[in-house]
Amino acid sequence: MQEDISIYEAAKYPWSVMARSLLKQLDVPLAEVDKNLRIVDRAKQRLMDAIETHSPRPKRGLSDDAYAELTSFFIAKALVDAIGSMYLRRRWATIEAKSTEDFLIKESDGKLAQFAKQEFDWQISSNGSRIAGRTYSHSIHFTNYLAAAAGFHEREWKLVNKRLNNGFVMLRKTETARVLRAAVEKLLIRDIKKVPADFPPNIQRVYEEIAVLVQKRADRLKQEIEGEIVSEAFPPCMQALLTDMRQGKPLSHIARFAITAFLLNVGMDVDSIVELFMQAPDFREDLARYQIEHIAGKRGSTAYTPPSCAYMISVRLCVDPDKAGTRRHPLNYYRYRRKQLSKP
Amino acid sequence: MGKEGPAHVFHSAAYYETPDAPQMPLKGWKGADLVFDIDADHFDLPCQKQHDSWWCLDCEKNGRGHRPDQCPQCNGTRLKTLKWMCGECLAKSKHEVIKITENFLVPDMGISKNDITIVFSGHRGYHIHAFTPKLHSLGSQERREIVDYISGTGIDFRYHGFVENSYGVPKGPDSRSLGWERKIAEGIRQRFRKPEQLSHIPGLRANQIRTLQQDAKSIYKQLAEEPPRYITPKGVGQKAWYTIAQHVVESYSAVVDEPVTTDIHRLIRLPGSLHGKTGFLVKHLDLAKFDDFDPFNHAQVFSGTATVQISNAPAFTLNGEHYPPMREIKKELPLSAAMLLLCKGVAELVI
Repeated sequence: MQEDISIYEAAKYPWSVMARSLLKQLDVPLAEVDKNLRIVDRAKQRLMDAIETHSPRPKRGLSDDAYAELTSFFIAKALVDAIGSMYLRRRWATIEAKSTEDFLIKESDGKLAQFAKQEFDWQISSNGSRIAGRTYSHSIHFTNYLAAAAGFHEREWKLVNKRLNNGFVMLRKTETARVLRAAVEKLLIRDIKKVPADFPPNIQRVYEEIAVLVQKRADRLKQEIEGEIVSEAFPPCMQALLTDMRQGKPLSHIARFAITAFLLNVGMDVDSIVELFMQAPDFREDLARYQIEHIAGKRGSTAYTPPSCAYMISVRLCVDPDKAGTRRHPLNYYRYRRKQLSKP
Repeated sequence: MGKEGPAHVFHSAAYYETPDAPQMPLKGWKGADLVFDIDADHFDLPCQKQHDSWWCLDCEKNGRGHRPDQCPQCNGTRLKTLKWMCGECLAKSKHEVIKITENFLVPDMGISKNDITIVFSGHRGYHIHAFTPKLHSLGSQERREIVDYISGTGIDFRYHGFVENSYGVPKGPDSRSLGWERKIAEGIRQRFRKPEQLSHIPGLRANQIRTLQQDAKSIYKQLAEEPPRYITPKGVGQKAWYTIAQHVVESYSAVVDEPVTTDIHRLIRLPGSLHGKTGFLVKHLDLAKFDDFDPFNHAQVFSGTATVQISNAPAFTLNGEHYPPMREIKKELPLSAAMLLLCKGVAELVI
């Protein structure tokens, strides 16, 4: 009976240390797992959910087969590792983390805190407090908070908009669960293992199906951004930088980097960008070309993408910080607007 | 270093597994101190119009204060600058250091004073280093959030007690709260305790200020209640609260050089070395004695004298001695003063 409870717990949080050690204890050979179609199908379902679901939560039939639930997570993870697509990894991490959040919400305040300590070594307390008429269930050290939540783009999550005192951020329970979800997501994105694509037959079949699907998605995303450049779809920040450039206004270093990286990513060639910079008061073609090629990745190993909206806000290049929350990234904005504009 | 005699010496604020590896990715980043750079360069101060100057290398146009982006006469961008420093700009830098530590690092972020050191940069500002191990592993994005916290960037008053279009008594920041909300609540209340402060708030119209000042006493009373009541007199809309709150944020917040804090591989001036643009000592300072520190006295290391041919130097004070503006003159000066002029490039050594 004791074991059933822990399998159920592990199935809820299959990425946790506890789940991993339980799986090790069970020690079922992969060939054996491959014969259990419930597991294989569930693993496939997990990845299909990741690719196809936009935001809704994956459906879970946890109670009927906790063992399949737990094991399928690890099969899915191995497939993500083997396919090696960052796109798939991100989407998979997102839905798994969301599912974790759903379970966490139902736990007690104390369990949440204990969990955060045990899995992420957070400094967290679940001694609730009432401050100026508002109730908070948890306080967590701001460095732990930032490590998980610094990338959130809604303003309410900015540290400057939180109650911070003596190193601790006050959170409500739903907020704590949300921050934990982000920590789980980051953990899953970072935990990359090199896995050769060499599975027993049933899992191998799923591997091939998913790999094809992911490739199709990647091609489509690429298409959305490549092709004809639609300058009407540029985000306001980039439009403003372009206007400044055309008027020959000197741009700061970071502004030049942002606009160059943006234009390269939407498919403009180096020559056209050099031409734009010609208006700059301190223009030197050799230097401009060198730097643009560097950003394009032709000189170093990295091809750069433009900074995120959060960064643009911080360096005060964002034109409309209040609305920027609707997008995370200038390229994301472009992709979306371009699609909108192309609709008849 | 003794052999080379470099003009500027820096050390890494980051820690590495193998610091001498030939390429950055091979060094194995372990963490970095949290560093803030406070430099008078980032302020707009009246004294800079007195002692800072620039000139265009193309057309010889010149001017005072901050260097423009391009020459107003010939649109050239080859501009040279002479940046000077005085008691006023260093006092402003000092004030910012105190704001950062006393308003944010210690009370809000819970960083112990023992884990904070201040370094005089040797020129126009200070560096604050926070050594707490928990801060080491923070990434760039996390550090940017800390900069935003300190500078009040992205603050949204709806998350600090104000409720838009609410029924009943208008709600606002509560001083029993924590962090920024408490600061805003206290700052607003203070402005009604001393209503003359209300006249310095940009964005309020003259008639609004008059009305608020007339009613200051009763408004103060309502703000002191628990919870506070943010009722405005007739003719002043609820929006005025945001204007006042913004003003309070600007007075509490501090200006830091963002790229320095967010760069997790930063090189920073080495304490104990001399700044190549001044000859002043880059100096570790005790937070407890920071108030008394005067760089024009306490960061001077030279004794003796030297004779220099001065081209054009603004007025300055060093080691208690005041020097008037000097132009095209040969003079024997105490070595610290001579060194400053030499480092600034406005004098040549006469042997």
